[in-house]
Amino acid sequence: MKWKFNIKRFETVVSGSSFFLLMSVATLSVQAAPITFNTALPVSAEEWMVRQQFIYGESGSADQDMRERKSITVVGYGVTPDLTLFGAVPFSDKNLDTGAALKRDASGLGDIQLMARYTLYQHDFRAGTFRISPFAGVETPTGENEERDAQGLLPPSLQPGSGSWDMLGGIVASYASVDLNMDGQLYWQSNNEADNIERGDVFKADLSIQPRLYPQDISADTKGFLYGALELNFTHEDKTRTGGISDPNSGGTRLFVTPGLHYTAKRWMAEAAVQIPVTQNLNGANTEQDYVLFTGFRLNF
Amino acid sequence: MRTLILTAALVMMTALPAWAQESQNDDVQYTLRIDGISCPFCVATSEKALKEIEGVEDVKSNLKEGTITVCADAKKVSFTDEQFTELFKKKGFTYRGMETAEQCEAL
Repeated sequence: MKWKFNIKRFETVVSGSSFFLLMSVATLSVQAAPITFNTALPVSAEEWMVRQQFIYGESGSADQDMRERKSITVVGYGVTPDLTLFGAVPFSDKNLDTGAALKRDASGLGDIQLMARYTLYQHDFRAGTFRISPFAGVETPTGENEERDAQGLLPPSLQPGSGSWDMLGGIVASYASVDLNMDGQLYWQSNNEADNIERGDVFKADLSIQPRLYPQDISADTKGFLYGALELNFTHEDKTRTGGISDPNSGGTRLFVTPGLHYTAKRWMAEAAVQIPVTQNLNGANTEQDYVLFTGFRLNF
Repeated sequence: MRTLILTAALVMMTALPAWAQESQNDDVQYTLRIDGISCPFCVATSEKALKEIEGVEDVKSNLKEGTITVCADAKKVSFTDEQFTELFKKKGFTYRGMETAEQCEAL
C-alpha cells in the first residue's frame, strides 16, 4: 500500500502563514483532552496550563529491540480567548539491543516544539461547545543529533534530536458536552536536512472520543469527572534521506488504537492510556512498534 | 438607672431585627446563563474570576443547566450584561443573560 502526501508543498503554505499564527494563538476552554496529542488542550485567556507526561514504548524488528522512555512537559498560555501559545519540552532515553551483545543507547533533551493555535470557529450551546482551530509551529534543533558511542555515530532513530528546524501545522476540531468529548486533528510536519540527514516528513490523523463514565448523573455538587478514552492514531512517515539517498529501512504507515482513562477535577487531571498497533505497513526492516504506555497529569492555574 | 437600662434594652431589641433585615437586603443573587461550559474544569476558571471581584460573596455552578449563580453585596458591586459578556468571553464561553433576585438563596 503506497501513501503519498505533498508535504513539501504544504511547507510553503505553512511558512507563509506561520508567522501570523505564531503571533496569535487560540484557546479552547473545553476540559477533557486527548491523551496522545497536545493540540486540543484547553487553556483560558491569561491562564497557564502544564501537562506532564511519562511515556514508555517498545519496538523491534527481526534482529533488534528498542526501548524508549520519554518525558514531555507541555506548557500553554492563553494570550487571548482565541489565541494560545504552547511549548513542548521532551527528554528521552533510548536503548537499542541488536541481540549480538551489541547495545547502543542515547539520552537527553530532545527537540523543543513551539506552537500557536487560533480558534477560527466557535459555537457554544448549553453545557457544550464546538470549536475549530488551526495551529502552526516549529520544532527547534535543541536535541543532540550527532551522539556517538564506541561503534560510531548513532542511527537517526536513536538520536535525541534531529539537528534541523522543522515546520509543523494542522487543524484541530473539538466537541465537548457534559456527557461526551470528541477531538480530531490533522497534523503535518515538514522535516529539513541537518548534517547530511533529513528525517522523513510526517502526516498524522488522530481521533479521540472521551465519554463520561462517572458520575452517571451530575449535580451542582459534582466535583470531578472520570472519562474513558478511545483514540485512533494514524501516522505516515516518509523515508529518511542520508546524503540525498533514501534509507529503505525507514518510514511507513502505522495505525494505532489507544484506550485510556482520565479523571478531571477543577484544576487538575490525571491520565493513562496504552497505544496498541492495529496495522503497520513499514518500509524494509524498519522497527515495528509493540506498544506505548502513557501516564501523566495536567494543571491549570 | 434601672429605667435607663430597660429603655436601652428595649431600643436595641426593636432596632436589631430592622438592622438584620436591612443587612439581608443588601445581597443580590444573579443567575447567569452561560453557554460552552461542559466540565468542572470549565466552571472553575469562571468561578475563580467571579470570586476575585470585591463584593462577590459566593459562587456556585450548575453544569447540567449551564448556569452560574452569584451572590453579591449590592452595596459593593452591581453587574451589567456588558460586564458579564466581557468576563465570560475572556474565559472562552458565551454569556446569554441573567436573572436577578433581591435575596440570595443558600448556595
